[in-house]
Amino acid sequence: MAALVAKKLVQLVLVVFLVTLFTFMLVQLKPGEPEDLLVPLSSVGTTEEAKQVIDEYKADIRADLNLDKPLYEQYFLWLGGFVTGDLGDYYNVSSQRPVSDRVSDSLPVSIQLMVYAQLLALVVAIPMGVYSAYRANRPSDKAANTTAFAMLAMPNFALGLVLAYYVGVVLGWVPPTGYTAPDENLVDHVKTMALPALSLAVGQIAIYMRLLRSDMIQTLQEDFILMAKSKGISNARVLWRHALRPSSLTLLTVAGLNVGALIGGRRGHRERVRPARHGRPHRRSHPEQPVHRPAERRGHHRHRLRAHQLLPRLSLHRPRPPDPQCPRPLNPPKPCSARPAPPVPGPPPPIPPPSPPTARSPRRRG
Amino acid sequence: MSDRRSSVSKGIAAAIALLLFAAGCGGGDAGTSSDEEAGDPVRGGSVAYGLEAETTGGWCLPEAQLAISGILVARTVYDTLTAPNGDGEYVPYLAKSVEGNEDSTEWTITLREGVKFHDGTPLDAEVVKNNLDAYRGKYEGRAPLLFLFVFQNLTDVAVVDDMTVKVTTEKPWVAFPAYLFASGRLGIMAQSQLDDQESCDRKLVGTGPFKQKSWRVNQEFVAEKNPDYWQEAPDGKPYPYLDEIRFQPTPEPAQRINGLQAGQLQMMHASGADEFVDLRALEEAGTVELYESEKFAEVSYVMINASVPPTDDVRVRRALAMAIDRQEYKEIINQGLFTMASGPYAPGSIGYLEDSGYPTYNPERAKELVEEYEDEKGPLKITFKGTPSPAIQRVAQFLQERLKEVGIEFTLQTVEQSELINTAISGDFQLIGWRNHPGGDPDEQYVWWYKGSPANFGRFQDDVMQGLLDEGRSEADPAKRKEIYEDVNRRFADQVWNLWANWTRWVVAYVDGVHGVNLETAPKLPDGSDPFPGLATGHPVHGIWIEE
Amino acid sequence: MSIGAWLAIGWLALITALALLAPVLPMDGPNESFGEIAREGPGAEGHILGGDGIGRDMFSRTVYGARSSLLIGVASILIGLIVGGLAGLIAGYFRGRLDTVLTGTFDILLAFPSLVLALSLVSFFRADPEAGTGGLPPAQIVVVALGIVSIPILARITRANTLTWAQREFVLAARAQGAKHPRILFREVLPNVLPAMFSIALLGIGVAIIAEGGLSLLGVGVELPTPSWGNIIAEGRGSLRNAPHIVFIPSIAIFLTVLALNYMGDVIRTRFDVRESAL
Repeated sequence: MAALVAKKLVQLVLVVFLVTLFTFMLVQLKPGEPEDLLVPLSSVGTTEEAKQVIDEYKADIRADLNLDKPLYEQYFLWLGGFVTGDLGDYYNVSSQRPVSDRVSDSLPVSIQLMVYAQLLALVVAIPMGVYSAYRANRPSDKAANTTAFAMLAMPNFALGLVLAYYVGVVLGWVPPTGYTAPDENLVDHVKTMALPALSLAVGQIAIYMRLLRSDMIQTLQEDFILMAKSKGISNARVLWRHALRPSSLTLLTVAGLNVGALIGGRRGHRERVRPARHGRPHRRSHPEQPVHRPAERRGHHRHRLRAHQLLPRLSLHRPRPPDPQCPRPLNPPKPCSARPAPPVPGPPPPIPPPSPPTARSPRRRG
Repeated sequence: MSDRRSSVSKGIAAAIALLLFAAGCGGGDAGTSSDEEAGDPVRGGSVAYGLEAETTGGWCLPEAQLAISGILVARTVYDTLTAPNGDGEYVPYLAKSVEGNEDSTEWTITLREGVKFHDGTPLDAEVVKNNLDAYRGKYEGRAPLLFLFVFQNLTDVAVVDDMTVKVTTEKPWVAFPAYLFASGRLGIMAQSQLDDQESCDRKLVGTGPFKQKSWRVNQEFVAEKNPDYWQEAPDGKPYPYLDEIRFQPTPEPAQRINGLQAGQLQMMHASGADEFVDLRALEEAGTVELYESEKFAEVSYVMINASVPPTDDVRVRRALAMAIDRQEYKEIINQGLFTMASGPYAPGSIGYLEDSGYPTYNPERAKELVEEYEDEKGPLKITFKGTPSPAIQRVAQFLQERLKEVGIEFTLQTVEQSELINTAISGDFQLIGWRNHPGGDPDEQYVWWYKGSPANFGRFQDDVMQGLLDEGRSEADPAKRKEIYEDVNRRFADQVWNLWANWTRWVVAYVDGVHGVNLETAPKLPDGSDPFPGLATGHPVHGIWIEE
Repeated sequence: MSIGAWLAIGWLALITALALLAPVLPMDGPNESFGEIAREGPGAEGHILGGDGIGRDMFSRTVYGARSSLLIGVASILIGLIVGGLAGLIAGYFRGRLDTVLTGTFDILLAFPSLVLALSLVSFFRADPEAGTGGLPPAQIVVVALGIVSIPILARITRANTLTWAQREFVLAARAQGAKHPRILFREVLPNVLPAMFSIALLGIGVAIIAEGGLSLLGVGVELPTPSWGNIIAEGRGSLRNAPHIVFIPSIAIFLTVLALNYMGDVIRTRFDVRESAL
């Protein structure tokens, strides 16, 4: 056991290392020099005095950011800072502050939003999933499925705009903009978070519902469910008490993974539509400066529209080949297929574990 | 270490104040809606003001990089030594008087008595000298960049007595009082902020009507009433009327309007055609009031790089100008709203001309010029760079269609805002969407156009222009100055260094019950003159009040 | 097949046909602007879907937008399928060290937030100084970027499926008969893995179409004036109040198309009994 944990840890460290290295290289490929962004004036073709002042500033910046050192040294300098908790500095017009400051400024709101979006998604998706599994392939299930597909198909960047105007302004149900902290006024807090949480949750609902439904259909074919039913336990009780728990493993795992993605993916409702502006300058200002990488990824990522969250999630729809035997080679085989069952050679094939959560959503560190 | 680090981090100054043409917009007829008789101003209350952008760089003024939103906040917390009045003349504001000698080479600034900074320290000659030194790059610990070039003409700033500062210039500098306002960017900071190496950008200490209460980046800048403010309201008590202003950066214009309509915001500003249409509809419906102005406005334009082919050829630049039907541009791009610009100087400014001689729509002549060029130097291809904002993209696509008609192959390239600045700096462009040159004194534009200026992004190096600019700077006779700057205007039109689009019209929108914003109700200046009618550099906030 | 499936096929066929036939359809060019229909809603004379912000025909732009959006969706997922599918097949079939290395690579790629990765790739390809102003045409850049992003996802799915199939008796039998690896891989394993890949690919096309919209909003999607559904929305977002149709028409087009693709994916999954989750 200890050996396994150790092995996993080593793998994790390796992945993190490679991810940072890869990001570092990627940033190297960007055109332009960071000092030109920090000093937005060019000395080319100017007067002597201007030239001197500008060049001096730029040289200072290069020195300060270690840009004159060889590439590998730049990387290891950053790595050294990073592992000791120094995320580097954030450069601005007249200040230079730790990146971690900015992180701690925005993290609480991100977390709140993430929690609400997840809760909302689960609260809607679980009953939907349970019910449509129970009614599998009947009209109500089909309707639920179609609804889920529709939710997945909504271009969320447009959804955000539309919700803000129609729900926030035309209907006037909740504020279309602004943020109120929970300790200031809880009701207002919930109201200001409603639209952002909703637009983040829509796609999730669909995915969670589909995951739960699919697992639940399996569970409902298990012996112990038949047993429970034969004992005369009510359907509702069977569904909620007996079947839900064993069916929700996938759902919870995925929800867990999404927590990270959402922290990164949230964007206050009021800024959602003009995304790149804020995030970019920090990142762009230091194309060669690894120090900012974590924050830049965060800053950057914070603005992503929700589409990106769908993309990795595709991996969760991992299909299985048609199994002539029965849908799931777990537990004692059940008579679920009319076809004769040839013995499967060897143990059930290992299904790759989902990538470790940390490696998958490194922005949760820090 | 800390010294070097801070000098490093202080690189940037107002350079980017000009920030791109974030929205292509312009003017129609100036309409100031007057709010009905609302009775006497009431004290107290809090107002949330939606800003078009956050000033992430903060307000360490000499180094800061303030666009209009930043200037609004700066004018809330700080006072400038001078301010423009209803006629666009610069009159003493925080200063009691600003007097030049005969040939405008020595300027004596006398300060107001009894003014206190928010930290309780008095305003005196020493702190004003230190501020001016910081702006011109002669104060230990502060490292301005653009102001350094702006104030290159200053040779000395000296304390004469407790309340008097004397400034000496190298060449006669007639417009010096305008520079003490510098579009609202030249606030006077307290000594404590000036010397603050750690947090000069985020701990604001000024003499203004409001003092900083809190600032959460991208969320809210809260300014609370300064009870000891030096300006007195007509009721004999000090300004301001409001207890609090909360500035909330809300970059997406539609979201600002949403917020205003839904009641999260009581005030906002905007400058895009789409927003004007939406806000005017709301005004019709009686839900909001508007104060619009395009006086002393900035001009929106397509900046041309005059140092690279093919735009270094004046025939090409003229062809570009002649290919565009400006009336059609106004209708399609600006929904018929904004006045097309004739030059860099907006109505109200010295140098403004209704007709500067800028080429009129003439596709045939444009075609001829293109053919002439192509015969000589081969196919004419031009690339336009602009931000992804819908307004800019609209402009670019419109240009593309129209230029195709005269035989110019026009490609457009989207660049992020941050990259766009870099692009302008490096000169790696042919055409770029831009907005700059707010009205005031025409000499204030010197730094953008003089030969060899690091801020002359269009890179025209013109002796005629240089001569005019120098002459205007030192000419004391107003009539002659007017002529000089009209010549500057004509020179621009003749050489077509920029493709003028429209004046950038700004609107301040506020909900029913907010008063003291528009020209009729805004407070007069300390010398009794009328308030400034422009909005390009924000507006004063001390006279705003709100019904209970 | 259900009515839903027919509707889905019908919609996809219609939109594909329109996209393919765009140049010969009797309509205005997508870049021709008519001042009088600027911001006019659907029903304007001669322009059934109205005009956009600068008076271009919305119908024409939507149809040409379909061209870009569908092309980007299909082409990028095709890249993912070919590269990712092959890598997944190899990893799942040969196992061992090769598998470890490939899976590790996918994990690393997956560790990047996908849109951030796409964004970085787009800006990198675009700004290639060697290639002068732009390098590849922007639409192709988007295809390559989204394709790269989809590789690890499709690879992992293919690998997982290959793992199970590679153990099956007929594969062992083929091997016992002395069949070579490539033959087994492509003749025995691949056909069985295809349905799963295909159903995911359909879903992926939908996601890619939406992702292009996200990139457009950030200004790095298909370069204007060439329309794509994403950039029409991005362009029209300022006019949501006074001309909502500019945002709504392409949004509905995206919605219906992605819905139809999801639906088709589901039909295939049910047909071939591909399970959606097996964590």
